[in-house]
Amino acid sequence: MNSLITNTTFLLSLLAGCIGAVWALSEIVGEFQTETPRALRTPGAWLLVAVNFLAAALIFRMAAEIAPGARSWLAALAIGLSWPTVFRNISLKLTQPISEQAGNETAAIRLEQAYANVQKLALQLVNSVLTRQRMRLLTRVMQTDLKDLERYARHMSAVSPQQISADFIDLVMQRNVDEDAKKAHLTALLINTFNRHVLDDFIRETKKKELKN
Amino acid sequence: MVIATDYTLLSGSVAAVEIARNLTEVQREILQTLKDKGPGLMLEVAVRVLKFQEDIYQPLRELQQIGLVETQTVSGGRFGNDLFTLTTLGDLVLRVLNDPSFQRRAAPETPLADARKQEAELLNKLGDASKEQGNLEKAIEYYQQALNITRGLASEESAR
Repeated sequence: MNSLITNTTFLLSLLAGCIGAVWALSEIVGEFQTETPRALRTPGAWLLVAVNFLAAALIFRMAAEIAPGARSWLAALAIGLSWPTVFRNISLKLTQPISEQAGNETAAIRLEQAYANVQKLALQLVNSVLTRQRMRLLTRVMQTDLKDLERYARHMSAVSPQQISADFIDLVMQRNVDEDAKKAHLTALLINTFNRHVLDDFIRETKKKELKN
Repeated sequence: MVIATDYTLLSGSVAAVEIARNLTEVQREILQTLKDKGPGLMLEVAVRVLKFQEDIYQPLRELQQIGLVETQTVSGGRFGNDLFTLTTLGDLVLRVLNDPSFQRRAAPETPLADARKQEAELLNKLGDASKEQGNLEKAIEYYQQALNITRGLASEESAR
């Protein structure tokens, strides 16, 4: 009988945890709308998912221990959905001051702040990985010919509904800087106006052309 | 233009509105692009607003000083190591900037409205002059015309 209750509690904790994890996934999707699949493949994203999963599961477990009546799938669902709201509004006072005036300065852990710190760390980790990936792509494109890159940028500008300003391409090309700087600007322009696939296609086309030659 | 602001002194929207009012067009564009396309290195932020790094260096640093953007150190190699991100305050200011009521207030008066204001002032002066000459009927006529223009401008303002 005991093992049945333990098993049920465990399964319900998993349910609450899974809903918590879905919350985290929705945060990542909202934050990295254009790069969701790549963002989800970073350790930072999984840190956030894991923290959300564990927090929801633990809160359900605590609720089930305190109030055995909470051992139901409905309670697990409710805790999974509402834990961020509850959790973010709790603060743990570490000391109780004797004087009332000192009350505002009491050492306390605001769980909202703790969660915000974890969230910030996770987002920084994701951003760091995504930026490194973009820079690696930029470096690869820098090895191609400037004329090809310019032609490709103008072509993309002409055929795509998200048009790049042709004037800006002209400005880049007329600048009195070295070829690498021009390439860096054109590449950054393409990656920021369209997406990485555009540059992947460009690299592939350039390689094909080289092979033909 | 740098506004010395202590983050702890900011009391919500009021401070955000004040900051939003003092931002330049480039700074507004930078905030919007950081919101729409996410964090970016200086090179990336520059091309997103169709400018070069040297053009946005100063505006970006000012935004950082005000506390609207923050940097995270990444290994971007030769493309820079500072990744610029929108802060919570930056997000709030951007919401203010995109608020239709703020945009309406920030919009400059049309030249036509200016001309009508001048016309009303002139009519008031003519009314004063007529009053001094003892021609009260004419003065009332001028004042009435000036009043009609002012009323028209006020109703246009409230409709906006």
